[in-house]
Amino acid sequence: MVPDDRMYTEDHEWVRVEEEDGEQIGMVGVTDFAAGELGDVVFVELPEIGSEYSQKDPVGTIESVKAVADLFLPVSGEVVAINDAVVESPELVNSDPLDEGWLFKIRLAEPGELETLLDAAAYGKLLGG
Amino acid sequence: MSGRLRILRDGSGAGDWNMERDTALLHAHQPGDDPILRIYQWNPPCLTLGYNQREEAFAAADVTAAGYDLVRRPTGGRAILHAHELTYAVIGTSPGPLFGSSLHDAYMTINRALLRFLSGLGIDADVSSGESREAARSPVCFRSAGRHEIRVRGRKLVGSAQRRLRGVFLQHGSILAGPEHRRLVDYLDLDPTARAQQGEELQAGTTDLQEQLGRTLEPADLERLGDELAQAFAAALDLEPTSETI
Repeated sequence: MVPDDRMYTEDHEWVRVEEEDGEQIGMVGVTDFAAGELGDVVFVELPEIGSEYSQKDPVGTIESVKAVADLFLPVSGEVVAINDAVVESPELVNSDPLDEGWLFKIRLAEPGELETLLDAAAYGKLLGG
Repeated sequence: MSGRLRILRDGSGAGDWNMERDTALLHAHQPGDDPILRIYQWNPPCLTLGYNQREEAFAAADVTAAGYDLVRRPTGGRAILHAHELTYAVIGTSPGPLFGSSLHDAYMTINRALLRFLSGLGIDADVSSGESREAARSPVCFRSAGRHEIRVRGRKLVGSAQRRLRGVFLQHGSILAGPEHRRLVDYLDLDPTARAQQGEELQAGTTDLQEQLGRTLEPADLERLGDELAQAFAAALDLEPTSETI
């Protein structure tokens, strides 16, 4: 079951947008599928707070016991927070990728880009469901 | 034959050049492009660190004083001393028809080719099935046989790692030719007792082509083995091999 409270990318990342102080802040993580595909995650490399990126820019990596996978930014914006807990305990990406295993937050520069992402139904179809 | 396999025989190169070349080939690769098999070696010997590995585990000054290169790989995992080995790199499309839909499928496909190569040499090898998160934290790559690694009677012979971008991947790996890789432990920043223990574990847990074949492998032998490796990949993937330079 793919949660419908967020949008997805073909790179198997999710972004959940919430309004904070009048700004749109997107929380970003990887999906259950990505976490399962990678296997035991041993390291996450996250972008620096304050850095700005365009949509689809590589912004970090997730390393599991057998692969390093690049993270891409789902939508353009400035990084405003990173999840220190997941840096300290990378296994959170495996145990709870959609909640406690979130990676970083961005202040959306182009909220219209959300429309270019996949909704839950489209992402479910991508997974073959 | 369902397509072409582009084969690059690069001979021996410096560590930074080898890793930059693998990385450049990966970034230039587009989904659907013909897959690439690169076969190469290292001159001088080179200690590579995993992409996210902490350098502090090693006495870097001692490594360079010994005349070795010290570079970081674009792939994950832990340190390897590339001294006497045959190194392969595959750059391909994933998901896709050739390497399957997942990271696991790509390992399986490439392992099929590696096992075919070893079988042709009369070496009866298999693929290990699991590695714990704790073992992955050891600084020495060849100390444990992880998931997808190739072993001979439980001793690791080939270690591999992947980097994945959007729709394409790089997998490279070391086929140990001789025991020189074990000198890696000499550069671990540990007390002598702990270092000796790591050395013993590395010796017990790894094997190499020379040991398996019962003969010394000179550079010309490795050149010939490179030919056989290329043929095994082409046959296992059912692709037409084309030699070229990029």
